[in-house]
Amino acid sequence: MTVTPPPTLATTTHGPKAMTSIEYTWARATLGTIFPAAPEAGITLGIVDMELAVFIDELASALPSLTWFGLRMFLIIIALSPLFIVGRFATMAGLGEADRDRVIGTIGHSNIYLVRQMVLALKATFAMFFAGGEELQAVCRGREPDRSKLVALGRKTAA
Amino acid sequence: MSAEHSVFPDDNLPEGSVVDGETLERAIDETFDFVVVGSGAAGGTAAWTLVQAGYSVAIVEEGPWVKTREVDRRVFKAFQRAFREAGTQVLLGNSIIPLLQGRCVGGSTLVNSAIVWRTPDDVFDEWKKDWGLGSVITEAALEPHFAAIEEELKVHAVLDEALGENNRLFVDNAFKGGFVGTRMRRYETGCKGSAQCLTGCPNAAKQGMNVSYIPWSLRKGARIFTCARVDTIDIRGGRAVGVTASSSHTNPKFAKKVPIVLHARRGVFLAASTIQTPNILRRSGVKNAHLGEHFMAHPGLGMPGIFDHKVDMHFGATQGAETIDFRKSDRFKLETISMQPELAATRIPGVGRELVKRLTTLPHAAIWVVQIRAKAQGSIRPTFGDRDLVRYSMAKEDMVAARKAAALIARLLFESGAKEVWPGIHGVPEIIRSMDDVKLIEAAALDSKNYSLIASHLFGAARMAQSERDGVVGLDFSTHAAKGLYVVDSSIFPTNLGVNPQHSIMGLARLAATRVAASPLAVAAA
Repeated sequence: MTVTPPPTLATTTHGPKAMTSIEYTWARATLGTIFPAAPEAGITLGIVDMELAVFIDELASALPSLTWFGLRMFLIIIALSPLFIVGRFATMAGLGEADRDRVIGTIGHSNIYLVRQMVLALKATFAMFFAGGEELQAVCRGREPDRSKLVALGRKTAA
Repeated sequence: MSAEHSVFPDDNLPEGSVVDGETLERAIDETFDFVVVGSGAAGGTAAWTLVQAGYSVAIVEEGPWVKTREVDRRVFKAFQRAFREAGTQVLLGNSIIPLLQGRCVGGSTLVNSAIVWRTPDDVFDEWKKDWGLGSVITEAALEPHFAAIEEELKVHAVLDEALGENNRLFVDNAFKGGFVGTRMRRYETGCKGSAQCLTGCPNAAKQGMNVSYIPWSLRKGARIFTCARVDTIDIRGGRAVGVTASSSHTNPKFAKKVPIVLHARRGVFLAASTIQTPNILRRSGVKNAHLGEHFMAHPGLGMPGIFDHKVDMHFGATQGAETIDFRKSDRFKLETISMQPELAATRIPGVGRELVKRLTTLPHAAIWVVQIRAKAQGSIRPTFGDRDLVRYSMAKEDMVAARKAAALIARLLFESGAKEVWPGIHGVPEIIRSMDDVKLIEAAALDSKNYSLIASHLFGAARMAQSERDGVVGLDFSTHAAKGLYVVDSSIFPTNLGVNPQHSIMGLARLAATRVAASPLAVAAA
C-alpha cells in the first residue's frame, strides 16, 4: 500500500478556522508525534493523514471557550519548547522525528505536574479523533478495515 | 429485527410533547401543576411519579434528546452532544480530576452503566445518627420505592449471553484475591453486550430515563422542554411558583435565547444534579451557609491488564462485575469497565509509535477500576461563562485507599493471567510485568497528582438537614428558604455511599414525589 501525502492542513478548505495557519502547522507536528502511523502494527495512517484541521475546528466550536483556549495554549507552548529541551532554536515543525519524539517524551514524563498534563490533555482529547479512525477500530474489533470508510473520513489513501 | 426496523420507546412520541429549544422561535408561557428541572435519574423518576398521581407536569432539560436511533458509536460525537462541556469538565484542587456528566434527556442515565445498588444499611444508620434523617429516610420508607423501580425497569444480574470476557475474568478470578466477585445488577432488558453504555445504548436495552420514565410520562400527558436552560426558580412570597428558562443549544456558542416561562401551581422539583442544583438555587436568591459546600464524590482509577488471549472489550456488558468486599474496611469498591479505544487511549502508556502499537493490543486488554468512597469535601461556585467551578482535593486517607486498591487490582490481574499491567501512576514504571513489581505500586507516593483519577457519582452541596442551620433542604425535601421548592437529586445526600448511587437517587426522588403528591399543601394549592 502506498500513502499519498495529505494536503497541507493550513490550506485545507473548510469552515471557520479555529487557529492561525502557523498553529495548524505546529499542531500537525506535535499531534503527529503523539499519534503517528505504525505500519508494523497495521496502522498505516497517522493523525496527520486524517482531516485533523477539520476536527480541530469542530473541537474549537464544541468546547467551552476557556477549555479550547487552554488546549490551544498547550499546542503553542509545546511547539515553542524545543529550545529548552533539545537546545535548538526551532519550533516542533522544524525538528526531525527523533527530536520531536524527545520533546514530547520529555514533556510527557516531566516531574512537574502541569507540564506533563499538557501532553496528557492533548493525548486524551485527540485520541477521540485518532482512535475513532477506521483502521484502529477495525483492529480493536477484529475485522478488516472498511476502505470506503477511510475515504469517507477524508483519509487520502491508495491501495 | 434490525435496529432500523425496531420501534424504540423514544420513537413516535405524542405530538407537541417535546418542545425543542434548539429550534424554538417564539417565547413560551405556560402553566402546569408541577415543573421538574432535570430529566436524569431524579427528575425522570419524580416526573413519572407525579404524572401517575394525575398531575400535569413540565420537564425542563438543558441538553438535547439523543434518540436511540441517533446514538453514535463515535466517542467524540457522543461527548459533543450528550455530555456537559463535551466531556471536558474537571474538578480543580491539588490535582485536576476529569468529571463526566450527562447533559441530555436522561442525564447521566444515558451514558452510565445502569448499575443498581440499594442504599446500604450503614448509610441509613449514619444519616440517622449524624444527620437526623432517621424519621424520613429509612430503609423501610424506601423499600417499596426500590421494589417498584426494580420491577418497572427490569432490574436483574447480567446474563451469560451479555457477560463478555472482561467481566467473566473478574468474576471467575476474584477468589484469588481473597474476595467474592459478583455480576452486577442493572436496569436493562435485552442487553446485546454492545459495550456502548458510555456513549448511549444503540438498542434501548439499557433502561435509562430517556427510554423509560420520560417517554412514559409524555405518553401520559407530560411535556418536556429540551435544550432549555433554567435561569431561575421564581419564588414569590416564600413559595416557588415557576421556572424561568431560556432556550439553549448543544453548542452554547450558537445559542439563540428564547424565553421559556413555566408557572407551577403546586411546586417545582429541582433535580439538576449535584453540581448544577446549588448554582440554580443561588441564581434564584436562595441563601444558606451550606449551599455549594460539602460536595463529595467517588473518584475512580482504572488499570488495564494485557492477556495472551483475546478479551475483546467491544463485546459484553460495559460494566458487568464488581465486589463491595472492601467497601466498609477500606472505603472502596472494585468494578470492571470496557472502554472504547478512544477512551482507553488516555490510560495507555507512552506516546508515538509505542502508544499506537499498544492501542492495537487493546483486544487483549481487560480494564478493572476502583471507585473510592472519598472523605474529601469540595465546593461548588458559579464562574464566568455560566459555568460551574468545582473545587475538590483528595484527602490523604482517600489516596491510601486509592493506592491499596490499585495494588490489589494489579495483583488480581496477574493472578488472572495478565502478562503485563499498566498502572498509570507517575513514579511507577509505565508497564509492570510480574507480581513482584506490584510492590512498586504499594510504595508509590500518595500525591493525587501522580494518579490518573476520574470523578463520578457526585453528592452533597445542598444537603438535607432538619434545620436551616445545618443544611439547605428540610426533611420534607423542600428548601428551608422557599416552600414548594423540592430538591430531589443527590445534592441533598449528606454523605457519599460507597456504591453506585442511581438507585438511591431514584428511590429518594420517588419517595419525595409520592409524599408531595399526597400532601395537603399540593392539594390545597389546586
